[in-house]
Amino acid sequence: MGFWKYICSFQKPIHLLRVRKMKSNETIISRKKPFKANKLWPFFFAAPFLIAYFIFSLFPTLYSFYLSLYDWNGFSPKVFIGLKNYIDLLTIDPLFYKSLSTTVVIMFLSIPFQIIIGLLLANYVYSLRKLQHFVSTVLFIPYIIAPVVVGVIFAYLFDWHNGYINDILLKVGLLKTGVYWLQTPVLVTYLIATMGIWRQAGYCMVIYLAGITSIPVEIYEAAKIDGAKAIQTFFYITIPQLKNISMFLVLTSIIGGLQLFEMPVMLYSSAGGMAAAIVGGPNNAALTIIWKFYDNTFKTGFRLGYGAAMSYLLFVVIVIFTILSFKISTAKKENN
Amino acid sequence: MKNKLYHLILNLIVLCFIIITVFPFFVVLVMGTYTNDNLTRVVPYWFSDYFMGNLRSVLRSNFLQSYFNSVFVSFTSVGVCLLFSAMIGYGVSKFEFKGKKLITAFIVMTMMVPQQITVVGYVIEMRMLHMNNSLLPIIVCWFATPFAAFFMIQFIREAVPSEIIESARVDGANELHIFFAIVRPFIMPGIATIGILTLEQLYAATPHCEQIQSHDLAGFHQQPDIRVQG
Repeated sequence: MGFWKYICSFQKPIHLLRVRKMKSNETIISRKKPFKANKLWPFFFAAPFLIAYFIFSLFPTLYSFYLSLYDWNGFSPKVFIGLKNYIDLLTIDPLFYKSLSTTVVIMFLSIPFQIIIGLLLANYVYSLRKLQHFVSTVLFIPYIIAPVVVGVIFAYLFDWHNGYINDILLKVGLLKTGVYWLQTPVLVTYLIATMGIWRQAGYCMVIYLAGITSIPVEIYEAAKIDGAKAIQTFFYITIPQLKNISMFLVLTSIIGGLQLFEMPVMLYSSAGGMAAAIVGGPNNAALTIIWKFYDNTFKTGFRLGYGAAMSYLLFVVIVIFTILSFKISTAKKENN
Repeated sequence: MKNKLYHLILNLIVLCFIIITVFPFFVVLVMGTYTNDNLTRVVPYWFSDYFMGNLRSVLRSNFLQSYFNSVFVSFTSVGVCLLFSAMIGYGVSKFEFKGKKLITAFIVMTMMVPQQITVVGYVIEMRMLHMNNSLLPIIVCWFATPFAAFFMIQFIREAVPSEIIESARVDGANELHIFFAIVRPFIMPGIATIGILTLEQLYAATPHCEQIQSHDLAGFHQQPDIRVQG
């Protein structure tokens, strides 16, 4: 039986099987050899990744949790305080909820726009006959730029004294005096959302473009024969066909949006034309949760345990958002 | 007529988008040709003549060292990451063994864990291993990238025909030989894709790593001399 299984597993034509049957037992055994050796090979291939993951990711993750139960500044002896770090964060620290809500608000301001703009641009670029590559490349450039650089560029653009946006608006005559873009809490929120849209829209476009290209042309042709207009095909064919890609984009944008860090930081860094680095911007309006985490853990606070607790709470938030968006998407599918 | 107008408006809107996209880059280029003092006085819209001067001061500020560091870090970390991901991809997708489902589920789970959660523990771990104040910590943390591994598992399952691997086995090829001579050419497109994605992720996250580096607790009092251009 084992012999037949062995032969069949190679899916050889019948006449070859006969030849093999007649061969001596020895050759069969010698051919079985690589099969026996197989049992350790998969572990050999999986080992480097798993070992690296255990050492450089899993251990630090668990160690972070261990540290989150302590009050420790990195130098003095650790003091075990149980869940006090978590309780402090959730009840006493006013900036935790503020930074969390700032991050979520920025996320909800930017994600719908970047996805809708990306979809519309992808649809437009796909319909282009000339310059398709040129337009898509130009629109994709912002995504290649590191978020740090984006922050610095926007700090220059929106500076009050010699920023381009104020200058242009003044010259055109839309404004009488310059607007304090970076010093007004409400405007800062919109500004950071704009940065997000500016950077991510091209990325969404490229992903959507890949999706649109893979939609079968026959569907469009059938719609055309049935007399559908461009807008109808867009709403009834393109969007439903791209559902999975939209889902992917929403999920990754949410996870990335909750980890927003460099762009707001660089808006208020001394490199960005500002006089001095300020943590959190005006009235902490730009303080995202990761910024608060870095500030408390490594810059001003040196509260390692506190920071570790914060990172775990962020993880919980990310998981909640992921589950929510999954639930929403599957609920829609059931309705359909 | 109506159709033409519609297309004109559409093109104009997209042109606006392109201008908005390109304008900041143009501004950066223009600003690069001015002296610092001039920049605080005027808002420049066209090129000046100080570009070479700025370039000189950039090169004097140890820029090439940072540049080399960036390139070195990205290539070593992404290279090893790709090798490890391809290996686990081959191991998990083309073999039948106990624990296969467990490993796949484990990788999917780890994709959800944000990087920040490891940071605090990672800094302390690197201090314990005496790897602080070097480039190693920001290279090593990319060796096991769950997304790359997940992608490679999916990709190898689809892209590499099992028959070819099996026939190589029948011919007595070593598994390592199969991996490098037969599987590797098949997965080059996937390697390229995931290499670009990981590189982009790494570049976006390098400042995080610098944060780890420069505020590393043990080396906090001495100025770290290794800089990475993000």
